[in-house]
Amino acid sequence: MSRKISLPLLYVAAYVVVVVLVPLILLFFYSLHASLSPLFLKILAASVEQSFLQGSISTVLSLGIGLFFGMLLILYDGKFKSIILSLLLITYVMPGIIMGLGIISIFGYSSRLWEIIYGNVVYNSPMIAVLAYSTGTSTNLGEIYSARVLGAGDSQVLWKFYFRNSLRGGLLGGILTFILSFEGFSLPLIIGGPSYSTMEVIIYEFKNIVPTFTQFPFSNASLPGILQVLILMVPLYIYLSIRGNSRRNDSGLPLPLKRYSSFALTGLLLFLAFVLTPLFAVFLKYPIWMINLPEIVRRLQLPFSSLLGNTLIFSFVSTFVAFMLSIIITVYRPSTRNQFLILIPLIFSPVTLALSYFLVYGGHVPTAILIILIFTVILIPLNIRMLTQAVDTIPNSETGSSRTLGDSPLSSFFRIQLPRVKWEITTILSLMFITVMGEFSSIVTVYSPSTETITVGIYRLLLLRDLKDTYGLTEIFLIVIFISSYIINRMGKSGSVGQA
Amino acid sequence: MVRLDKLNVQGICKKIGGVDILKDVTFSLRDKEIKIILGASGSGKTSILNTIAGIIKPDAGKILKKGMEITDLDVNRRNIGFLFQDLGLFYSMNVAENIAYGLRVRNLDLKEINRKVNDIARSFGIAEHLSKFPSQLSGGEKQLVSLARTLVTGPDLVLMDEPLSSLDSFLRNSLRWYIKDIPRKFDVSIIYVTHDLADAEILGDTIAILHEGRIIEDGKKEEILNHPKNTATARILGYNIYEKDGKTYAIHPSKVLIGGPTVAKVIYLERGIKNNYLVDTSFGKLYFFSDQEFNGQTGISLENSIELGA
Amino acid sequence: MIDPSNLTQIILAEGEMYQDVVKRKTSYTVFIVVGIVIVAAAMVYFVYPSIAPSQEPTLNILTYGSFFQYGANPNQTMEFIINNFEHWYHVKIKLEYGSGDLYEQVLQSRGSGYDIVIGLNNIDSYLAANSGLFYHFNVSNETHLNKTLYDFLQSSGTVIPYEFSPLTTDYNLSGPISKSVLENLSFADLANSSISKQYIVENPTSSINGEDFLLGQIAFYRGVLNQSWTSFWNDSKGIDVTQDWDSGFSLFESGSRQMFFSYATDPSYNAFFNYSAIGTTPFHYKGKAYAWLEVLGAGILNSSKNKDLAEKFINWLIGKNVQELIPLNEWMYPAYNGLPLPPQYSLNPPVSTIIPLNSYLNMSTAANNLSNWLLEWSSIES
Repeated sequence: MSRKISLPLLYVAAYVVVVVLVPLILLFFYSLHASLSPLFLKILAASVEQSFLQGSISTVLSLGIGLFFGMLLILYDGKFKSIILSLLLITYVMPGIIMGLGIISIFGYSSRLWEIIYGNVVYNSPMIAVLAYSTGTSTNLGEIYSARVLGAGDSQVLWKFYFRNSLRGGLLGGILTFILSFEGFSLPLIIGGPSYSTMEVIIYEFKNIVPTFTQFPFSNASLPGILQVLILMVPLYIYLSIRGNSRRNDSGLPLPLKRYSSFALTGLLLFLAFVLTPLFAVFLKYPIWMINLPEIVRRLQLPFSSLLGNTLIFSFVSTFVAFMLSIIITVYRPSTRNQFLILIPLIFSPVTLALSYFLVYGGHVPTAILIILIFTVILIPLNIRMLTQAVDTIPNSETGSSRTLGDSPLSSFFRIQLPRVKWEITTILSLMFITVMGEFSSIVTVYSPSTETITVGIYRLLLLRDLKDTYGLTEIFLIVIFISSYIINRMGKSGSVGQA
Repeated sequence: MVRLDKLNVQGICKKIGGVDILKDVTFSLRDKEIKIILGASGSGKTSILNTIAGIIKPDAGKILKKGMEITDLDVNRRNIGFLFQDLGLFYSMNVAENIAYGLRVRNLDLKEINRKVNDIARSFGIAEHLSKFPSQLSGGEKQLVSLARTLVTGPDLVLMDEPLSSLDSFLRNSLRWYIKDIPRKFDVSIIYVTHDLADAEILGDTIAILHEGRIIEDGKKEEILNHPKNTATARILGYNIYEKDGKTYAIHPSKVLIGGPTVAKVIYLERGIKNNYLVDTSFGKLYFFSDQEFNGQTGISLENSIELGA
Repeated sequence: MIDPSNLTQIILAEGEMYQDVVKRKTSYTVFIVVGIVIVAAAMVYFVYPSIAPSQEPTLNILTYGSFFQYGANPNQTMEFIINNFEHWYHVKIKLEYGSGDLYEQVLQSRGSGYDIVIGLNNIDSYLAANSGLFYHFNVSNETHLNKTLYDFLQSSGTVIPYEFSPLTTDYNLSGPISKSVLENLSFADLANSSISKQYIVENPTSSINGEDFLLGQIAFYRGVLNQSWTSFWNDSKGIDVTQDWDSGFSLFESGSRQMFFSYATDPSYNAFFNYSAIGTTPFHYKGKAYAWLEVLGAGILNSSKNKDLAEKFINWLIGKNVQELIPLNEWMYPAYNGLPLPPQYSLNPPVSTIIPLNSYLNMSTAANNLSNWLLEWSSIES
């Protein structure tokens, strides 16, 4: 009997081709025309070395700190838990450029490599802590109490059960940390200077500052781009293989190690202080009342409405489009094997993504559309992941019932699944909106004066060495982000915080 | 004129995760028939239902409904009702909306929908619950809502996946008779999957025995229950199995007679509603129950044994 | 016990109404449609300018922010240059101000979105002319233009020079370095740390002035001294490098440093506006004065849909009426030969006394090596 090619497979194929294959092929093609002067090779080699160095050191330190505080999160059992979790995740959605500015306001440019590492650790250790916490708490409480009844002490429970289970989450976080630190951009760009440039910074510089003036001007930028994609495929593959679904554990049993709760709280507050210090440093050094908006506008030679309008419009449009596409992909999702294909855009770092899309679509669409396209593609993998996770909490029988009662997959999603995970959806949307508002590395690679956003404005002010206005604009932006984050905290009541 | 079967399942095979879940499953179903699929947990019962409903696609084989092949048809186009094990009620909607769901999907007029919902709710006796939400209902009420929802769209075939397994025995007894009446009242056929023998005895018109992914017996209820043809069936039906003179025999615990030639030593006697005996014989341990007293002195009779094939 | 005999058809009593239990639902379709409408509106907002068929054609001109802004009355000047043209030719002119390197900006959008680019410096003009992105056309006023400038751009017929200036070192006399040193400044002087610490130059990777400084310096070291050019930067680490001309000029004006690499016309600028007097000097060597001539050109993009009008605008730009405005508004020398200069220009070193370093470095060599030179510079200056 013949089977027709299923429609979902066609959707996935089209998506993969348009979003991934064509840009990748073009990037590869351009990289073949790179002009390999000894100087270029020397700079490239140095950047590869820096990427590995910063990636490894950041991962090791973040893992150590993150796992420890993840355990504290497990031990703490109080009413501030959700607030602490959302505060920890603030750094994760914080734009890198602001983190960099925060660090500079504390340390200046004294010890560049370690400042970059500090920034990476501040960024990633909360994420590792939360991931370790989420897999750790999926420990079956029935198992733990069985062990207790058999005579196990506190340290055994902690070590054999909680730590062992948190290790998986921690490991996932560690791989993510390596990938993110390897392809670090904002921190090395702002703090590092040429000696500490990662591959991502080099790609940006070769495109925007030193394009080769030949028939293929961006070939020298494409080469490190392709190289980075190839290198990062390995950790990404490992990450996707060991990532599974961690279940929440609601057996109704009480948490076993409650007596350490106050100790854990102290530790967590210290951790929060460590993590949020760069942000507060900004406000301490350049108080809010010194913000001079007209001066900022004058230096940038752009009206503030344009800056803000671009930021908001890009964020809204890309969030909406990414969300719609993610719904379609989630609803018609192909088998688990093919899911890997959907997540392939993850191998593109933001700058490489921007570069390859520029190569494909650069002259053919207005820059604004190009930027929206890039933002959308950046958002989709995370969107799919979180949407799938939210939807999977709904019993199969509900979805199955709606289908056997005659409903199509898409309609069934909107009638049955969406109402059931309303809070999760709101959280996802807000998170996406904030993430893309703070997006810097991809847009700075391709922007034009009329499409400048707030993050690019901050960077330009920094380049003009106008520190006062740089921090002024940063603070305006941070206030917007804090407000949005608070809204997320209020809306995201269910437990989907912190899943990888 | 040839009377077409309501459902024909031919040679269905399905591998999941490298394991053969269904092997060459074949059976058919007639109008207004209730077919019980009896099998142990993990034998593939739910998978058969999922295949017929279209939730999973078989690797090989055909499914025909009233002579039309539906093997490749989408789930939502088969007009087959499905009662899931955990009922699958929509928790974000109230009872009325739950029942109305299938009707809304079929784009019926709102007035018509209201009429049908009200009708079926009254006939199931759940009209006073229409504005409640599933979380506010008892187990039995949820069952009725689920049944109402499935039947209101007028399917010609309903699949039921152990729907009564989570209910207490009182409710189970009541609802069994309820379900028994459905084929006649609603003109549907039912495939009912279970591992509960009481369901098989009361509900079924025919019984198919599913063992390790294969249908090993399929036939009229009385025939299957009283005359198992092979060891696996006999086990599933709760028979004692023993070997004598190189042949294999099965005897139901209710058919062992007290007083007979077979020597039996009492290991356990447990008195309950009946007397339950675990005895040791020369062919191995046997379990039987009886109203009468047995102390091991008078022996037992195994004359009601059935000789088994392989 | 649930009675199976309940499972019967219910007949309604006379006049009894069905309970309205199932109501109309607002579906998510509403939200989705609203979202799509907003997205579509945003798309149109972004795409419309480039596809809108307007009654009047629009000329999109990419230029630098200070285009004709430094005169006594910039509004009046711009009105003359822009509004007059708009009026005569029934065209709308839209100026877009770029930052940094205009050619790179053109490169980044593959030339789309603009009709004319005004303000390409020497090497950018050369690159632009050879990039295939610019349109070759015949210039009507060519005979009046300074031929040497054309040679320096190596871009005939594609990028037209409209103004130029030698690039020299501005200095103010209120500082530690003596007048005699300043007036005879040489490249070698900057190896002296007390002198280099007083020097401001722009970043060659982000500013065309910086780029021109680098090109001039390389031209000098290769062409005149026959030495490796990197030795200059290794020796003169005290130099302050700023992002662009604006920030460099602010530093210079604040008095924190005594020297600033800028335009030979700056003394006349300060005199005109009654600012503090400054001097400016080319680089000296063995009694001769050398400077890099920054030549700015304008070109039409191939993607322009209004090439005819664009040609007319460029002809207007190099015509006598606009060229006359250049000395007092752009503070550069006009490309149009023989125009009288304002009296304040006597404070500037005369162009005829300066040997252009451009003749020591042709544009094709520069273009082929520029990215490597910029990379090397970056690694030295880090």
